[in-house]
Amino acid sequence: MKIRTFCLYVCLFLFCAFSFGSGSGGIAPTLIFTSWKAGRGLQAGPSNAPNIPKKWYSFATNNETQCKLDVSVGYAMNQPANAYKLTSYEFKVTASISLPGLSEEELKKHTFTFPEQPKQQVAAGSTSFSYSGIGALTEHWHPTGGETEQRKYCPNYTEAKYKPKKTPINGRSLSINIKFIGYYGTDPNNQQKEEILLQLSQETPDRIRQEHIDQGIYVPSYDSFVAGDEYNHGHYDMMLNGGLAGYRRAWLDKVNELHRQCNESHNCEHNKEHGNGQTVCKPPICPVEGCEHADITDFTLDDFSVTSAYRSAHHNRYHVKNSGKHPHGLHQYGYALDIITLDVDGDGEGPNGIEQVKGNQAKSADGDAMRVAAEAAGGYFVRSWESYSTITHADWRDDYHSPWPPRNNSSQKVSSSSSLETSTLATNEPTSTPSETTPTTAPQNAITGACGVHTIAASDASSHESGTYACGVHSGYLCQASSDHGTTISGWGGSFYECQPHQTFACGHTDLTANSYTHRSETCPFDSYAQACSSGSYYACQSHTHDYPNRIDGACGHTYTVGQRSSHELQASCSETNANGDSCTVTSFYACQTHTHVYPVRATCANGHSYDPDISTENNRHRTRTCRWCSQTWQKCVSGAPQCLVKTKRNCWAIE
Amino acid sequence: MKKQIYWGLAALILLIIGGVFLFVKNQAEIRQLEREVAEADKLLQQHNAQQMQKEKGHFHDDGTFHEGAPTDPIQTDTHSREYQPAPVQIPEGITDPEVLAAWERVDYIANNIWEFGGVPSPRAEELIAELYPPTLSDDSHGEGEMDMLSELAQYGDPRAAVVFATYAGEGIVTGKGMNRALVEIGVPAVPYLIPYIEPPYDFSVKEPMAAAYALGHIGVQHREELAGVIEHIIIPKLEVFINAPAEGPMMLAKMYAAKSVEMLKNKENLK
Repeated sequence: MKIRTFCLYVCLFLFCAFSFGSGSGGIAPTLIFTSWKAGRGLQAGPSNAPNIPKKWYSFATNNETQCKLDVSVGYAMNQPANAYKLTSYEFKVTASISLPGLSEEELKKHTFTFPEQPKQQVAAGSTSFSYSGIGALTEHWHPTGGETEQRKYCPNYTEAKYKPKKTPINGRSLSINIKFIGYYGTDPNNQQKEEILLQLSQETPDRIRQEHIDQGIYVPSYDSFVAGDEYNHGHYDMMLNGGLAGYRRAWLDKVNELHRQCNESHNCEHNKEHGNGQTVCKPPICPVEGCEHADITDFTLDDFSVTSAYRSAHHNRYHVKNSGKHPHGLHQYGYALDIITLDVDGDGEGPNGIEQVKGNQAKSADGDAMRVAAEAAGGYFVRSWESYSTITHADWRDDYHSPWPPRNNSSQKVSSSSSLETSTLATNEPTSTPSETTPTTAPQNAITGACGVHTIAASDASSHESGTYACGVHSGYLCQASSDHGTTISGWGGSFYECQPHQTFACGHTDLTANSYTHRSETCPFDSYAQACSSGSYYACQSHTHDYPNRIDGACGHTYTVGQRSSHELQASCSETNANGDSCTVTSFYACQTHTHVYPVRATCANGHSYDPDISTENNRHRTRTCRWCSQTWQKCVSGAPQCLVKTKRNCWAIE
Repeated sequence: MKKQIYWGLAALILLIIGGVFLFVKNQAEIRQLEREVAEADKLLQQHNAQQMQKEKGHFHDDGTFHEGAPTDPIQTDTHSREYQPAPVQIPEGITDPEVLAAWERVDYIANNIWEFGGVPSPRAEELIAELYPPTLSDDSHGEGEMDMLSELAQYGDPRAAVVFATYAGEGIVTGKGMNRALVEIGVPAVPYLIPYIEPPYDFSVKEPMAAAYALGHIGVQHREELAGVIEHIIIPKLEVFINAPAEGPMMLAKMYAAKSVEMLKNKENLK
């Protein structure tokens, strides 16, 4: 009995420990998304990686009307040997948009539509299943839609509760759902299916980036967005901040320096003019003898009121007066401040003591002082202008050798998916192009190409216009495309352009850097008998069959394969039972050996019951007991101890 | 009975050991995956850093990027080089022939800006036409002008000097960017800048900051082309300005002027 109990536990343990690795019969394959990339999102994957960051699932479209999507599905690593392989598969891709205030009908008009990919058979030996398509949007968000259309980004903007502009109201959010359905089974008429779903949805940085994309202006990187603070005058709770607090502080310090100087000079002059016989100046330095010192109060940050700092692209274009005409404004990149002009010269002249810029007059004493202070604080371009008060705008762009922000080619289109093996399209950042060349002779009827570099025949103009290079990733003047934008490299995972980030991995494969996970080193696990694979390690990209020792010289005297091991193992006990339910008592024998089952000898009690006298519980139950006082006999299998005939008030007490 | 309990316990312990083994194995696999993901991220970051390094260069007007400095297509260009020269008023009564020669040099520069380098650019022409003469539009934020000025600065067209000098000198758009643009244009900007360091010194009429800054830097960089102009015009005028009474914003202009004089007089720069 005890052996049976032990065997039960051991079997239970073995089942739990190894059932996943050595199951019998075909089971459903485990599928994962091995990589994906939507629009300007990251090349991400696989979907079973640990701690996947949210930005892997975020994206922004390639341009206003197109979004390229590339997805690959494969089998998860360490599939059981008996897992089915897919026979066919299909992808179902749908996009949706979240935008409060729009009806379903309206929303449909603003949703990208991805091409269908019909169900298709799996090519022999193929372990990767991919989808590549360009989602298209028929209706533009661009100004062609008009301001009314554009306000749909934030339909509630005009509500009073949003007027304090620091309240995030958020714009639209795009989502893409990718469903992969894999079919498997041996019966073609009764295929089973396995579905997995990948949901991509725009995080806040990509929502803001989308506004830049739709307006055709420079798109900042995902990671450059930070949590919004007091300088956030956009629609979101995130912003770009190029160091606005520091610029404001430095600007204020310079204003205060001028404030002190102006007070000194002005007061000296003022008192001279009034001829009161004494010159009165204020500290810290008074150039005139006989000064009386008085306190000068510096302006504080509270005085230095910011009317606008960071503005999200849509807000900048559609909710700020006149800003729409100049879409590259630095407020959208967190590099500009608008400050209400103060009475820097301390003369108290002008409305509210501040000399105002009027109409198209550029200058006022206080405005000038604000500008000069901003320049002294490092302001790159500074200007004062008239609003409800004189406002001084300063920005801190810091790249002299180029217009900043860089100008995007907003007309850039997504390349045909068929021209790309891998999906990377319009990236955010400008990309280097080769050195410019200058032709040595000018053709007749020469013109200067749009590139501004080459003098060419008019008929050749198209080859000098700007456009997307063959790679589909980078753009620039077509005449300046270097070979790396057109040269394809036959990589391990497919062809890609030389300009795309790639490398040769330790496995020897050349592939896109983004696919590095696929080329990782793997260590072979021990087999279920703790035998090491003879190769020790391999690369995930390599086809690998574990090579465990398959010939075993067993202690039983036989040589056998791993698969036959169970037939040669030492058996702790025999599991056979006879008709009475008794187990064979033979122990420690090899499974390959035959033995004669030995069952316990059974006894018959006084009541005719058959039992195993070697099992103490059975023996106790069936043995005949004799009372030590009255000599009555009884068996527990029938009844308990009877009433004693001698000691009338007690039950019989058996002799041991 | 007791023996049965021992067997059960033994089996239970086996189960626990097995469970712990599986758990530890699973954790090790997770750590391995994390390491690999971290390595992949590191590689990606290195690549991005290399990309950023590569991206140091200049942009064209459509946003395309080129490594290194903009190509000088002056040898092949067929663009118009027409421009309105800066009016140079040579002061009357100059008796010192060296001073007179210096003024004539300024006049020569004003009428021959292309001799001192630069690229005629049709786009720069368009921008100059749009920006000059300055008319303050109802777009009073000035961001449109700043956009255009930022773009104009990259073309290296010396005709842009009139725009930068006027905008900065009249206080329309000022700042570090304006000063740098003037220094970049170099010698052709000098005739446009000199009037802004001449009296009367009234900040409400003209602002000498950009001129005071740029003349010092241009002088140091182009001492040979400005032979005599520095010693007989720029330095004396800046010194007069420095010694004139000033207040408020003018103080900063005087600081720029003092720095410029120091740079121009520095023997290290007298090569």
